[in-house]
Amino acid sequence: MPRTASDLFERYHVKTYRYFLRTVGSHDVAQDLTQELFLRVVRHLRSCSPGREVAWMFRIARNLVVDYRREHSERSLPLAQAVGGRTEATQLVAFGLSEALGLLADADREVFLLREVAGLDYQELAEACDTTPQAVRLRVSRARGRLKALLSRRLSADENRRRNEDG
Amino acid sequence: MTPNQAEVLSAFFDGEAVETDALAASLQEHDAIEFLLEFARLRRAVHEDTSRPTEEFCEAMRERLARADRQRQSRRRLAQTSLAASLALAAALGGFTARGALERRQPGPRGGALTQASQAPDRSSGATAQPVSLPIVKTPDDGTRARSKQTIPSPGLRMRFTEWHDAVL
Repeated sequence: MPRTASDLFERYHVKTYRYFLRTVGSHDVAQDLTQELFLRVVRHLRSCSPGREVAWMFRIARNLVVDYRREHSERSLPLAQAVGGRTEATQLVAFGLSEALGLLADADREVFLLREVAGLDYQELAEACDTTPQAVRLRVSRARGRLKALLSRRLSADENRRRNEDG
Repeated sequence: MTPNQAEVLSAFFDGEAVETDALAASLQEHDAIEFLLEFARLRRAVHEDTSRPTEEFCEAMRERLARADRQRQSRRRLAQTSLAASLALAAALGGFTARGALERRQPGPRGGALTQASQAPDRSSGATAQPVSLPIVKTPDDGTRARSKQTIPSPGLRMRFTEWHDAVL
């Protein structure tokens, strides 16, 4: 298990960057948040229990996102406004994953991204999100159900296109 | 598919432990396979993201973090060295003090010389106060002194007590 900030950076900088990018939607902001995350890691790594670095680091990442959202609430992803409140699955097939993620509740999006992008297990997710594994399980399932409803047509179409390209 | 069944499938898909009975019930649903396939498609869509931070950013961060790690390690080394030096100093001082104490004790005489002190008589027998022998320790500077200050009260106090005791009797 990595015990220096450099090791953690080598292992997780892409995942954390993608998590930030999916969450805030801007490359520059995602890089800034990644930088801030690892600077905090190097400052406070000693306070982290050995073996819990990943959950601890993504907890910091999550808090950075929360802080960013609070400070830049006017710039947060206004997707619900952009689609004029039309959130029916049939009206959203044209949207991509990022847009669909923007329609999830914050807590559901958070656990879904930490699960799929960062690869945290439910116990680590619970530690990172300050909740229980049971709540994590529910949130991940709810996020998947919602995304499935929003994106199933698009995902099926992508699957068919890929199949045609391969065949 | 009920929300609970979907939750079981979702947890199963993530490799988490699930109740086998609940899993069996969920898998028997007609759309269970479709759910699992959708989860897999969703995962693939997420993993198709190839965005990365720029190489310049990564290089700058690597340098910065390596420098910070080095500083942290040198601080830790300095702290460890200081601690080791403090412990060595404390051990040396302790040894020196213990040695001094031992040297002072080793040539000391055994108890044997006498001094007199009045022992309080038994009130019921009506006996008078009797002298009692106590060990003393000779010191090089002032002649003799009691081995234990606690066992031998000062003469003034002792006299006052004896006088008081005799007067009571």
